[in-house]
Amino acid sequence: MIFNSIPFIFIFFPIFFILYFFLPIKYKNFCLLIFSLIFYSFGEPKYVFVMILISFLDFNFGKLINKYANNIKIKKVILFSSIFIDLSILIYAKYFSFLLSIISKVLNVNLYIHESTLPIGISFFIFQSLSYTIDMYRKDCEVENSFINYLTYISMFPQLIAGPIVRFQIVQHNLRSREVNKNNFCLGFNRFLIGLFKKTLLANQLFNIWKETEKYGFENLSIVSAFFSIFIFLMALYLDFASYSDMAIGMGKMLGFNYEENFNYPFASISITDFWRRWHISLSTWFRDYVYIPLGGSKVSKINHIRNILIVWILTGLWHGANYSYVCWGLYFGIILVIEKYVLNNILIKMNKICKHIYASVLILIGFVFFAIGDFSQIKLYFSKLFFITNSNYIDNFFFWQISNNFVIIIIGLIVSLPICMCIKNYISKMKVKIPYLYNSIQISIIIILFFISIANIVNDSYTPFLYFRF
Amino acid sequence: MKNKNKITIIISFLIIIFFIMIFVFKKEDFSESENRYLKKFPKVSIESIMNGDFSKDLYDHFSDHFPFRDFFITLKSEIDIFIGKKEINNVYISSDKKLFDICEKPKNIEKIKNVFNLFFESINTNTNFYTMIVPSKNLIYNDQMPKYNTSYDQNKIINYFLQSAERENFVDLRDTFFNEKENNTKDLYYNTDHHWTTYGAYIAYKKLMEVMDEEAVEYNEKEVDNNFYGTTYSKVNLLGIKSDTIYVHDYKESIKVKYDNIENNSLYNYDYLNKKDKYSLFLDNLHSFVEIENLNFKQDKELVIIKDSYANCFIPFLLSHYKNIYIFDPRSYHKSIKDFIEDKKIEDVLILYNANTIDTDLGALSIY
Repeated sequence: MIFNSIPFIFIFFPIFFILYFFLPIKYKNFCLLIFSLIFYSFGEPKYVFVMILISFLDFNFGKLINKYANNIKIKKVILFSSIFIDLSILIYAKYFSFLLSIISKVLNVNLYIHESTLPIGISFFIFQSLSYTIDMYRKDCEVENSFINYLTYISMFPQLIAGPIVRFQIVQHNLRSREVNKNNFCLGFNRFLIGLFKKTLLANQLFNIWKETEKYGFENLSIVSAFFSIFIFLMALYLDFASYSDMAIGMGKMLGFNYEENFNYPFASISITDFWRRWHISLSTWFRDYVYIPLGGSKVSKINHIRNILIVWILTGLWHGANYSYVCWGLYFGIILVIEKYVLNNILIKMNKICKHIYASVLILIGFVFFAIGDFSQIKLYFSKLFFITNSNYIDNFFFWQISNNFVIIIIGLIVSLPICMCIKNYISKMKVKIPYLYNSIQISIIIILFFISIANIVNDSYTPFLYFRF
Repeated sequence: MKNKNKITIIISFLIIIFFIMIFVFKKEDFSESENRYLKKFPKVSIESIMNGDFSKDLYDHFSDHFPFRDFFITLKSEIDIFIGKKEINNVYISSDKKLFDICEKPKNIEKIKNVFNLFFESINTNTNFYTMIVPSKNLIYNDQMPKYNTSYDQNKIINYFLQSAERENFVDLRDTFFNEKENNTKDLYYNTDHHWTTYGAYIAYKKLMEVMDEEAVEYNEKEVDNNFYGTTYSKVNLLGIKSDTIYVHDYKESIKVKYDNIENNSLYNYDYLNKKDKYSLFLDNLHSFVEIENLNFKQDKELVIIKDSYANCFIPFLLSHYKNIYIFDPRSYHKSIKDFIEDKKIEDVLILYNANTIDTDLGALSIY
């Protein structure tokens, strides 16, 4: 089920929260579990069993690790079985056809490649489940003895499909006892609304501009339109992803869970290293704690350190999808990170702040061309437009048209994506002290208006203009 | 009370109100404003649930039947205009609220033109062929569209047909229409619909008569409706757009019209004036094959028209020139038009399509 849809907001959401709120504490997890399974089954019914299977295995692996907590050898075997099984399922579901295509190319044979559909959110929940067994092995969390609790953790609908990746150690305490109160409910609800507005009013609209760019054809772009379009893509991607995190964190709070933030104004980065501390934080920290540090992190020889960085970034790329372009995307950032650590380190410190922002923004934009476009010939074409390799104009009608048509959305999108909105927020809060009554009523009216516009957008999204060209 | 709590209470209340309304509201089957059938509640079966069709259909069902759906659709369009959008659902909106359907880059015209040429060559009788590719409002009134728009240049489509004309006479309407636009204030196209007006069709008819070297009849204009909101309007659903007026050519000939085993004596079915889709009054909307006989015409001169809906308001002008007019809609007519023409030794054949829709109209591909 998707959050910004009528069945979710107007049916699932009210039924679930009314039930959840009025049920006694001991049934709350069970209620959450049942609704989460319904949520996941809506659209992907068969894969719900994959999720239950993974949870069941890791739940028992966790118990076994606890049982043999003092026998390192057995513990290791159990952990490796868990990692092996989880990764095998992930690889089978996500990378199998990709691997086969590589094998058939290398060996020059024709293998039958079966295109399977990817279970939604599999990369997220497998990573969540893995974090439990690894943490158990490291004694970073306590064993969970209730399968209901464990399955609830894996399947919890707020962050099930697109993160943030919540680690078991963070919610374990909350799973057993948590405070479901009015205050948290309201805070969370407001956060959910903000996410909903970001998604329906900004992200979807901006993404349409990128779709129009694709339709227009990369070969027709001018240099300005090429930069403009990839910038719009990145902004849409950020707002889309961040809005999902907002809604997840908000609903988590309504339920009594405290999730960690997943984004921190990534476009305000001053270097690529900085960018990755601000973008999809839960994934970066997952890789840091479970791959980078176990490999030795930075406390090894220079060569090994570079190797570690590159491994982590190739994996980060692969995690996003089984495609060479994602691998290139990860590798691109990995290489820049290595360069920043070993070459640019001193130069960057001395640089003017504005120069740093420009430096980071340009590199991020270029990197996300790999992310936006899957096909390599198209990527090449796009780069040729960005860097003026093929004959093209500096500027064209497409750019002017998109600006004149979407000016307001782009400006609001920019304000929301940049820390400027924090400044504006602070400035407005000052008014709150001066004229509280007026401030409050204006805020409430704006939220109600935005809510109605959001519904209008949701109702319109599936709106197919009548196919009337039958005349 | 804190503001966040107030907001929570108000919005939760709204959600619950809508929740109740979703289940209480009477569900319509047909949307008048969009002119289409709304999605019914999907059938429950294990198969449809397992492959995900059920949930997809359920999304559409709920958004199709959302309470006050028309209000929300208009709200969305109004907000878009308010924040400066100039295009909604593939319709350009000028600052004085004139509507223009976008012209998409064609994909099939080369194939279509090829089929036309094969069709003309295959016919062994002494028949005159005429092709009329009607420009859209998008081309003729290009200067009134929003600045910087990226609509495809329809000249390219028309030029392609013009340049590859072999056996047929290509009737190029562009100069005539531009001329008319300069010197006359009468509308050549509806503002709220993608079709031309009867007056636009009349101008095209005069041009055809010039090419055929015949004398054109006078346009006997008769107003039949002044509250027409067509297909283009249904895509944007904005407030404050003036309705169009439909005129018909009040012909004097007494005729007999035959289609689908029905015999009739009028080219207009005024029942459609009570429906949304009023343009359908011309030739009673769509039929795969229509036969018109002019009862007063003495000679044995016959015409075949292969066409899309643009021709429906154009055909009444041709009545006085032929004994019989045979109208084919190749989308639904599956027998050989070539055999028909050869058997009847048809004098004239006219292919009439709109430049915008010919590309997506797969009928044009199946005439030969």
